[in-house]
Formats: sequence, structure tokens, C-alpha cells
Amino acid sequence: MNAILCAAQDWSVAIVDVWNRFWFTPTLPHTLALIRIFAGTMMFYTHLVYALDLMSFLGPNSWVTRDLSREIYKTQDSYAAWSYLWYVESPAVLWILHILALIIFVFLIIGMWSRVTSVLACLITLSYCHRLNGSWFGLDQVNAMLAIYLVIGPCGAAYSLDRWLEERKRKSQVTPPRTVSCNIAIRLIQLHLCIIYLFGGITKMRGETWWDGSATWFAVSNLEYQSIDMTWIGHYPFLFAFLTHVTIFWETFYCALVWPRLTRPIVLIIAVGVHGGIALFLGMITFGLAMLIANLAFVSPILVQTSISWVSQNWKRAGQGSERKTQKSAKQ
Amino acid sequence: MVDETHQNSTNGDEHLQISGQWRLAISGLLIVHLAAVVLPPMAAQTRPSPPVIFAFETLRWYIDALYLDHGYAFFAPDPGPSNLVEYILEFDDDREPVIQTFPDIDRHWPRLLYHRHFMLSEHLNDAFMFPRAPSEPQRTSEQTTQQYNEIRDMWKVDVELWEKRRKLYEMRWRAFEQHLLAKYDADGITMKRKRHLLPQLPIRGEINLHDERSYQYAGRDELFPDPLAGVVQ
Repeated sequence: MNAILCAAQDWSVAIVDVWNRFWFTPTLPHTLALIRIFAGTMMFYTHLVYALDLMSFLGPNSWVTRDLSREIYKTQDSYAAWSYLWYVESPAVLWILHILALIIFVFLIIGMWSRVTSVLACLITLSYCHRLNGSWFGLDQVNAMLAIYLVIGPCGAAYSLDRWLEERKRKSQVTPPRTVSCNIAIRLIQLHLCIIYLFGGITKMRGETWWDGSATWFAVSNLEYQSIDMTWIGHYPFLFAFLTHVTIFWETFYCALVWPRLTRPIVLIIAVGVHGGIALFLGMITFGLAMLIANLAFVSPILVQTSISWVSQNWKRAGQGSERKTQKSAKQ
Repeated sequence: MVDETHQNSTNGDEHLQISGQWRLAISGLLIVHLAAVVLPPMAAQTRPSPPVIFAFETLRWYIDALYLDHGYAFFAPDPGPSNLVEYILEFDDDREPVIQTFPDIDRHWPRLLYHRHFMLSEHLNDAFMFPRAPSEPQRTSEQTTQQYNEIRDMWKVDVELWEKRRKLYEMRWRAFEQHLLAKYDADGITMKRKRHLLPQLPIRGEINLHDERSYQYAGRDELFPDPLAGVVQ
């Protein structure tokens, strides 16, 4: 009996230790900072596109009026969904708010006052999602997810104007510190992504076409989604069935296979293939890219730091090289 | 679930820089948050279980505020046909009637703007609710009073749900009409739902995704002829 109690105690201590290591080990901010730049750019672009026909989406005679937007939530007994855009109807004010939103997203991308701009960007993203509840799709879900988690971690601690200003003030290069909040933000993106894929896979399993292999055919033969004609694949049932099976297996087991060191690269390479395919062939470039941005959470900050340093060094060298060439040719 | 590649910390005890009480409080919040992420897709499956409904309703305010209520059913359970909207605008002056469809790849650019219009028509179709309420159940001779009352109670819930959904569908339809009338300064509009069926397998001969026979039309209160039928190529 004593042995069982000891084993149970050891087990619970181990569980607590693993939990603490998983969530509370401080991490470098480079991955989160890179996600900030890409996700901020995607948020900026998403809202920039609304600007092409802003009044059709937010104005008094919009596709989904303010009243309808609120009624949808009321019918579902959702009272906590909130948008500041519900209180504005004047086109002039809507334009001012929209331009301010775009400026906030630019600040987020460049990492200017990141702690404040990340909160504002999150508030803006959620408000647009809640207001435009008749035209949303997966892109908005991923944008909102990343906006929320950028608030939690120090997303401007690297590759940002904040960092540059701090270094200029101190007159020396400062290595960004490892923080627990950064780890929590990254962990939440990772787990949220696992849940998205798991339920994406589970829901597909309820369908027939994901089992008989024809789902890929039905996806690519949908004219309204199609951006590049892939209907030739219809003549190769073996190929489209194979792609269907790879997709559903990858999606369902992503949540398990993305963690071990051995399988992670394979899972991430397939992610690039699947989301790249969605972006190129199914006309959802933004959604495909947004999912890939979220997948960056599984790239270690050391690898991000090393890769970016390598790119910037080569960039500098290339710049110096072309400068020398210009000087030489000027002398000649 | 141990992630080996993301642990960059050299010292395994570094997490101790946060006090035990803080770790406990943050852990509690993390569990609540993850529950709020996992509950909506669980509730979105065919018929959610009582504990899922209970937990979902408990965390509903949090789920809604953070826009977490999603089923993540991308192309699932099966990739289906596209749902579009076709409309005819009429004018009291000399202008010719305008017949258009949304989404329209030629008018809606960039691709994201096109996709927004595509989602508008898809959401309208998802919101479709038949104009007649579910009919009242008739009591059969085999049913006890209690059995009949239970069935009637379920019917009342269905009617209440139908009323809400039908109202939303009508509001959405009217909003679309009003938008198009205002945008084109038109005096009359006739709008219909348009479904583009998918080419069924096996493929025989040429594939023509523009085939007129692959489109079906339905008015505001009509059902499509056969929602699952496709066109054999």
C-alpha cells in the first residue's frame, strides 16, 4: 500500500514538474516577435481590404447592418461579444476610426510601443470580427487568435522599434531577456493550433468524402474557390485520394506529432504543403498564410534568431559588395 | 506531451522565478482559457453532451468576448457546393435592369474582397429557415398524456428556435436587398439564391465547371431541388 502511495506521490510530483517546465520556463522573444511582424502585416492587409469598400461593410446600408449584427448575437444569447463599431454610423467617423486602426497595425508591425499597440490591435481585431459577423471566415479566426496571444507576451522585445530605441538610449546592444510571459504566449498559440487541427480532423472524419478519398477532388473542382485550375487531377483518382488521406491524417495527428523532435519537421513541412496548396489553388492566400504564421510558434527562438542574423549578415555583405562595385565603376 | 525543441532555457529551475502562488493562479487561468478554446468545437458537433453544454454556457461570456466560438470545420464534414446570390435591379428611369451575382471574381478584387462577398452569400444560405413553423404534433392513441406532453414541450422549443432563426434569416435577406438598392440607387430588386453543384465522380470526358446545368436557383423561401445532387460530367 505504501509503495502505491509513494508511486502516486512521485507521479504527481512529476506531473507538476512537467506542467511547470511546459508553461513557466522563460523563453527568448524572437519567435513571438517574428509572429508579431507577420501577423501584424496580415491584420493590416485584412483591414486595408475593407477600406476598398468600407461603407458596404460598416456603413448605414451595409450588407450586415449594425442592428442585424447585434441581433445575431442576441438570438444566440451572446451578450459578451462587443464591438465599438456598433455605436458608430457616421461615414466620417467610421473612416477616421478605420484609418486609426490601420495606423495601430503599422505600429504593431514595426514594434512601436508594442505593449500598448498589441492591446489596441487586439481590441480592434475583435471589434471588427464581432461587427462583421456575416462575412467572416477562417482568416478572421486566426487573426483574432494571434492578436490575443500577442498581448500576453513581450512581442516587441525583439526586431522592433522599441528594441532599437532602447539600444540607442543605452548606446549598446542588449540581448532581449528570456521571459515566462513569452513562453506562455507561444505555448497558447501552439495549443490553440493543435485544437484547431484536431477538431478540423475530427469533423472531417464525420464526412464520407474524406474516407473514400474524393474530398480533394471536390475541393479543387469548386469553381468559386478555385484560383488555379486543378481539375486535371480528376483523371488521377489515386493521386487525389492519396492527398485526401495525407491531409486528414496530418490534421488529426498534428496535435501529437508536432511535439517530438523527430516528427516536428515532417509535420511542419506538410503544413507548408497543405496551407500553401490552399493559398495557391483554393484562392485563400490570406488564410493559408495566416495558418503558416501561426505554425511559426513551433520554430525555436534560437533558430529564428540564427536565421535572421544570417539573412541580415548576407544582406549587409551583398549591400557592401554592390557598394564597392559602384565605387569601382565610378573610379573607372 | 513534452516539447523538447522549444525549451531553450539552460536551467531547469528557472521557472521558480515566479512564486508558487502566482504559478497556481496563472495555471488556473490557463486551464479556463484552454477549456474556452476546446469547448466551442465540441459543442459544434452533431449533438453536444450535457457536460459540454454546461461548461460551454458557464464560460460563454469569455468565449464570446474573445471570439472563440468556432467549430473549425474547414471543408468538413464534406466539401460542398458553393452558394451564391443572383439579383436583378430595376430602375424607374431609363436605365436598363442590372443582373449580377455575388461573389463575382471580375468585380470583387483583390481576392480577399471576393472571399468576403463569397462568405456573405454562404452565410445567407446557412441562415436559411423554411417559412412555416414545425407543425404541432398530433396525439396518437398509443401515447400516454405524459408522453404526449413531453413531445409537445420539445415541439415548443423547436418553434421558439424556428421563430428566432426565421427572423434572423428575413433580417439578413432584407439587409442585403436594402444594401443593393442603396448602392445602385435602384427602385426594385429581385434576389435569388444560386447554388453551384460540384462535378461528381467518376469523371468522363471534358470537365466544364461553367456548365449551366450545374446551377440551381431558389427564392427566399424555397428549398433547392436536391441539395446533394451533383452533375455527372
